[in-house]
Order: sequence, then structure tokens, then C-alpha cells
Amino acid sequence: MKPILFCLITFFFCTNIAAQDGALFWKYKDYDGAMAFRIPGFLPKISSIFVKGKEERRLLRRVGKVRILVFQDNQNPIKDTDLKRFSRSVSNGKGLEDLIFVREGKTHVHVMGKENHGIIKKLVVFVSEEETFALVSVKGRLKFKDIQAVIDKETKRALKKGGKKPKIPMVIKPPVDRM
Amino acid sequence: MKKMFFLLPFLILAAFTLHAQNDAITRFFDKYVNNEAFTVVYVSPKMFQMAAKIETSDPEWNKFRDVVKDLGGLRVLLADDITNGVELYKEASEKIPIGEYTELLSVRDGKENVRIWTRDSGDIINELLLLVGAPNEFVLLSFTGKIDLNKISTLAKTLDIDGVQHLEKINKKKDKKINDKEED
Repeated sequence: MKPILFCLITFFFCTNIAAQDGALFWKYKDYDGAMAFRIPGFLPKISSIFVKGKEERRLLRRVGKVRILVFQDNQNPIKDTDLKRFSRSVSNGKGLEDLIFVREGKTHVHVMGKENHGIIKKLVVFVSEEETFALVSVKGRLKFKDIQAVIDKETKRALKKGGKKPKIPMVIKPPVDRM
Repeated sequence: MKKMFFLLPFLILAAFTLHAQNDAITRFFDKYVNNEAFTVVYVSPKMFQMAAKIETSDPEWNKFRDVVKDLGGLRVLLADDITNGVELYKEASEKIPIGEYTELLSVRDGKENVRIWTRDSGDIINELLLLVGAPNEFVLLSFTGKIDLNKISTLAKTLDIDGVQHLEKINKKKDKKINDKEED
């Protein structure tokens, strides 16, 4: 009886492990029309040497691995079932948390992230339309104060140039066209 | 001990099952969330918390931060290329449990109807519902969290979402009440 119960419990745990963004990337990266990039963690750190601003350099050094998958020109093979499974895996609390979700017609925009004690450890954005798809996954240790510093710097620079405050990008602006 | 082992898998299953809010408004959202005629926007509490952690020297951003830091979440269901906006408005109105929500504002301008409800516990407003219905337009918006009515209309200027501009009517109504009191 005890071994049967143990197997049942293990089975339930296994069936709840759902696809994450990595699974989506690895499944579709070799499809026709896929533009797939993997940027290893050390590359943003090295490239920060060539960045002028101190605040931008600091932010770039905190970026780790980046994965990008793009399909365009009517070559989107991503199935709805895979997208729904991926969204469900986020809702089930497997690491990533839902941040923003927007759907207009057949266009989906989904932003997910993992944040703890003021540090963004992972950010995943995917945009899916009928003919195009883009998935960007950024791992790292981005601190809010580093993001703040870059925003403040850009604000001061814009004020010096034109005397006008730049429009701070609205965090919650759905990226959909107005009808 | 045997009973514990028997119950354990069921308890674990229950822990892994998603329990969505089982209220009428949520059911209404769920009914149309996959309908392509509707635009759906969802901003999670986590997103508001993260936005509130970013401090800058811009006073407008800081005002926005002050509003969103206590917000729980935002859900919007909107359709602006339809012909049955009024029917949807009536359907949604019927779903609002009158015992739980207090009507804050009701405006009718020609064929456009706007209503705002709140749900509170004591002095804290836990939810704000905005419902707009016109022949070619329908908006259902729900804010949850600790809502300050004085500040919520600030969001109307910040959020670039159709229908949210109606939140400014809350302040206009308040100003009108103050003016009426002064006249008396």
C-alpha cells in the first residue's frame, strides 16, 4: 500500500511540471524561418566595457543569459496549445509570475518575471500574432536602483538638451493599436 | 496513520489546483476572455509592486507610484467594434451582486452609460468596478487592492487604455458635491 501511494504522489508531481520558456525555445529554434539567438552570460558583461555611461554599464553587467526566438513573414509555427501550456505553467507558480497580459484579436503580449527582494532575476516577454512571434528571455540580477539610475540620467540629459521633461514610458501601456 | 496516507494525495492535488475567484464578475470576464471581439488587459499585483519600487526624481512618476503601490491588480475587458454594447452592459450590470457593491457614480450621456461601483470593508475600498456601455462600445474594468479614490483618477491620465478616462468623473462628482455644499 505504501509503495503504491508513494508512486501516486510522485506521478502527480511529475504531471504538474509544465513547459517553461526554455522548453518553448528549444522546441522551435530549429524550425524553418526561426531566428534564434542565445547570448551567454559573459557577453553582456564584456560588452559593458564599450558602453560610455556608468549607470548603463552597471545595468548591463547585471544582465546574464539572453534567449531570443523570432518568427516573422508569415512563418509562425507556434501552436496555441504550446502557448496555453506555457501561460498555464506561469499561472501554476512554477518560478515565473504573470506581470502583464494583453490580448487584442489574435495578438497576444505576455510579460512574465521573477523578482525577489528588489532583484529581477528573470524577465520573459512574448508577443504572438497570427504571422509573427517573438520570445525574449533575460536572466540576470537587475536591481531596481540601477534601472532608476538610468532613468534619472536620461531625464537629466533630456532636460539639459531641450529644456523639456522626457515622457517617462508608461509601464502599463498596452502595446496595441487603437481602433 | 493509514487514514493520513490515504488522504495525503488528495491534499496535495488540492494544493496544486488553481482556485480562481469564484464570483460573478470573474465568471463574466472568463466568459469573454477568449472572444476575439474583446481586448483583454491584465496587470498583476506583482507588476504594480515592481513599478512602485522604482523611484526617480520625476514628480509625476512618483505620484503614479504613490497610487499603484497599494493596488492589487487590474483587469480590463473592452470591445470597441461591436453593435451589442448595450446588451453586454445590461448583462454585466445584472451580474454585479448589489449586496456586496455600492454604486458610486452613474452617468448617462445620450446612449452611453457609465457606472462605477466600489466594494469596501470598513474604510478601505477593496475593489473598484467601472462599467461603460454604448451601442458600439463596452468596457468592464476592475481594480483591486487598497484603493484611494482621491488618487485613482490620477491613473486615468497615466493608463493609456480606452475607458479608463471615465475614472476622472469620480473627481468631478466630488468637486460638484463640494461646490453644491458651499452654495448651500
